[in-house]
Amino acid sequence: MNEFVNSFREAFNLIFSFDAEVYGIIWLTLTVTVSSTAIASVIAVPAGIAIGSYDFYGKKLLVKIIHAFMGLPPVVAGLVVYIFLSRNGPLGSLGLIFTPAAMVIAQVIIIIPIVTGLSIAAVRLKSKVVKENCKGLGLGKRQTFRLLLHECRYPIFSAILTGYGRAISEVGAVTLVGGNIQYHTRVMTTTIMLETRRGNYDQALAIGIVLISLSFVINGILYRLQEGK
Amino acid sequence: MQYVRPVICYLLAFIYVTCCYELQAVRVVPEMDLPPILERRGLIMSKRKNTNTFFNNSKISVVLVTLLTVIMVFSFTACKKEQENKTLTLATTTSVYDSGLLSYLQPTLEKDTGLELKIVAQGTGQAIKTAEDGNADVLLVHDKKSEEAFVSAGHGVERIELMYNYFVIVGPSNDPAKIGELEEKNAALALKQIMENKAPFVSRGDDSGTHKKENSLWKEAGVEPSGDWYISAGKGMADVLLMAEEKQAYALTDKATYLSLKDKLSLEILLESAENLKNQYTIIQVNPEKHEGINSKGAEKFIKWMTSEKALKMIAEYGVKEYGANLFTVNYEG
Amino acid sequence: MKVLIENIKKSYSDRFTLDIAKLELAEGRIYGILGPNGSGKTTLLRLISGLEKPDSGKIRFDLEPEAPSGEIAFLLQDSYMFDFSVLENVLLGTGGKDSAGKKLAMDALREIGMEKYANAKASTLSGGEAQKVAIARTLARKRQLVLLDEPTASVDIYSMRQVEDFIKKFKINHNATVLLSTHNPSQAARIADEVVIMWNGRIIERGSPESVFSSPCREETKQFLENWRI
Repeated sequence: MNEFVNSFREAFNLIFSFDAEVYGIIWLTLTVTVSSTAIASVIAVPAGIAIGSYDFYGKKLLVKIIHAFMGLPPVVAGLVVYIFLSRNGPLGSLGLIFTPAAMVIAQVIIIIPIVTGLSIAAVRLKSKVVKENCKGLGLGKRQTFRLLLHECRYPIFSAILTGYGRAISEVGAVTLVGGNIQYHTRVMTTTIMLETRRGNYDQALAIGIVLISLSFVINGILYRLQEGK
Repeated sequence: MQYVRPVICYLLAFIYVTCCYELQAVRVVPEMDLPPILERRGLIMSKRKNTNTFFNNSKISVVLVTLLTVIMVFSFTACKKEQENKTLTLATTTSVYDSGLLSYLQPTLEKDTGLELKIVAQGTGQAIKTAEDGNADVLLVHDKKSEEAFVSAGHGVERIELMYNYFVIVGPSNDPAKIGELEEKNAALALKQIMENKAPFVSRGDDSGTHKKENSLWKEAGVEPSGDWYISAGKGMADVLLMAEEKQAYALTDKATYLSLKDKLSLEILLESAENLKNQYTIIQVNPEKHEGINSKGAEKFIKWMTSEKALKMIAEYGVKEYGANLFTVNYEG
Repeated sequence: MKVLIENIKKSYSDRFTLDIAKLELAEGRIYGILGPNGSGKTTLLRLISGLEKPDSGKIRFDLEPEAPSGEIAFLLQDSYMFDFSVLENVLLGTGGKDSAGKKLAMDALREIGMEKYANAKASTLSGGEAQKVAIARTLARKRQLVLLDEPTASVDIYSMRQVEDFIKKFKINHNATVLLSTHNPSQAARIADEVVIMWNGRIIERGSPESVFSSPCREETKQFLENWRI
C-alpha cells in the first residue's frame, strides 16, 4: 500500500522534475502513439467504411480475416517487422531497425485491423439507410461516403480511441523493433518494463501513473475536438 | 506537503487546456426570429457552440490538429539520417546494463571517441541474435560457449576478454542448507547440497547468462533439479531476488544486482569467489563482412577505448563509491 | 421525363410477386399509386428508383436504360434525417451550399411551413415534422422524375394541404413526372392527374381520379374504395 502512495508522489515529481530525459521519453511516447494511430486511422477508417457499406464477393471471408487479426498478438507483429527491417532482412538497407520509425510501423500494423474491424461495425447498421437516402437525392459516391462518416462519427471515433489505447499500451513489439535504447527509442511503457525488471517498482508505477494521465489528457483533447466539429 | 505544489500545477494545466477548447468562438447562425417555444425546448443550437454544422465550425482546430499530427509524424523521421559512422550500436545483456557500468562509462567514452553510443540491452541469447542479424556493431556478453560459437560461425571478429566478476549464491541468513560451512568453495557442491536439503531455490529460468551458468553448475554436480523446492521464475535478476526474498530461498545472482537491491533484501551472500562462479565478460566486434552497414570503424574505436588504460581503470573502480566494493575485476591482456 | 416499364417481374418470396406488363408515365403529370398494404407500391417505386433490379423486364427513362444522375429524386418511407440542422438537411437536396442553394432550401422550407425550424437540430423533430422536411429536401431543386413513397403518412391535416400544394407547384414549375404512392384516395383525388390502382402486385386499373373513383371497373377496386366514402 505504501508503494501506491510513494508512486503518486514519484509521479508528480517526475512530471515536474524538468528532467530532459523524462520529458524526452514522454515526448517520444506522444509522437510514436499519435503518429501510429493517425496513420493507421487514415488507412483503416475509410477501408472499414467501404467494407462495411458495400457488398462484394468474399466480403464475409474478408471480415472474418480482419476479426482474426484484431486478436493478433502484438509481439508477433513486432517479430515480423523485426525480421523485415533487420539488416539481414529484405528491407535492411533502409536502416530502420532500432529507430522510432520502426516502432511506428509495428504499431500501425497492430492497430489497422482493430480500427478497421470496429469501423465496419460502426457503419453496419446505418449504411443501407444512408446510402439509399443519398441515392434518393442524387448525391455522388464521395458525398455519400462523407455523409456516412458523419452519421457514424461517434462509433468511428471510439474506434480510433481504441486504436490509440492499443498504441499507448504496447510494450512487446516496440521493445523488439526499437531496442529500448536510452534517449532514442525508449518510451514510457518500455521504461516501465525496464524499471520493473530492475526491481524499482515505485518508479515503474509512477511512470504508469504519468502514462495514464497522459492518455487521459489526450482523450480529453480529442473528445473536445470531436464535439466541436 | 511536498506534493501540493505539483498537484496544483498539474490541475491548472489541465483546466487551462480544457478551457481553451470550451471558449472557442461561438458561431451564431444567421438572424432568424425563432419562436420562443423552440428556445425553451432547447431545440435551438445557434446560441451554443455545438451547432454540429456540416459547414466548418472548427476548421481551424482541425487544421491545427492535423498540423500537430504531421509535425509529430515527421519529427522522428527528420533525424533518421544521422551520420552513419558516428553512431555505434552495442548489444549487451540486461545484467551488464542493469549494473550501471555502461551508463557510468558512456559520457567519458562518447567524449573521447566522438561516438554516439546506442545500447540495446536484451537477454544473452537475444543479444547474440541481434549481433548475428547485423543489427549491432559490437557485442558485450558473458557466455563463453555461445561466444565461441558466434566467432567460429564467422559472425564475430575475435573474443576479447575484458573483465570478470563472480556470481554469488545468496540465501536466508540462517542458511538451512548450510552451504556457508562447506569446506571447499565449490558452487556445484553447494547447489547439490541445496537440492539434498530440498531448500527452496529460485532460478532465472530464462536462458540468460546467469541461467546458463546455473545450468552448467547443476551439470557439474551431476544432478538435475526438480521438485517443489525448485522455482523456475522466467524473470529478470532483480525480480528473481525479490521473489527469493519473499520465499526466503536461495538464488544464484551477480553481485551487482544483489548490491543494488541490498536495502530491500534480508538475504545474505553465502558463497562467493568460488572458481566455478567466475563470470567472464567479453567484447566481440561484429564481422563487418557479414552485413552491410556495420560501423566497423566505430567498433574499432570503441574497443580501443574500452581496452585503454583509462577505461580499464574506470572499470576497476566502478562500484567502490556506491557499494564499497568494486563490481568488476579487469583481466584484459593486451 | 418519360418512363416506360415493360414486363417487370420481381418476387421476394413465394408470398409476393410484382408483375407489371406495361406502364407508361408522361412528363408533367402526377401519378397517384393507390392500393392496400402489401400490394407492391413500394416495390414498384424501388424498382423505378434503381434501388433494386427487376428479375426480368426493363425500365426505360426517356428511352435510356438509366436516368441521368441527379434527375431522379425519391423519398423513402422512413424520412431519414441526417445529424445536422434542418436547413443543412434540406441543403443536401439543393445541389450546393452556396447562397443560391440556401435560397432554394429556404424556399422549400417556406412552402411546407417549416422555415422557422431552419436552425433546429433535425434529430429533435417529431415524425411528421421530419417527413415534411424530407419532402422539402426531395423537392428542393429541379428534378425530372420524383418518386414519393407515402409522403404524408405522418403529416397532420393542416400541413397536408401545404405539402400537396407544394407537390403540385413543383410539377408545374419543372414539368416533372411525379409518382406518389398513398393509401388515401382523397389525396389522390386532390392532386393526381392519373391514378394507378395496385392489387397483389399487379396494376388492375388506371385512369383519371374522377373516372376511377366514380365508376371503378374492377371488383377489387370497388372493394378498396368501399371504406373510403366514410
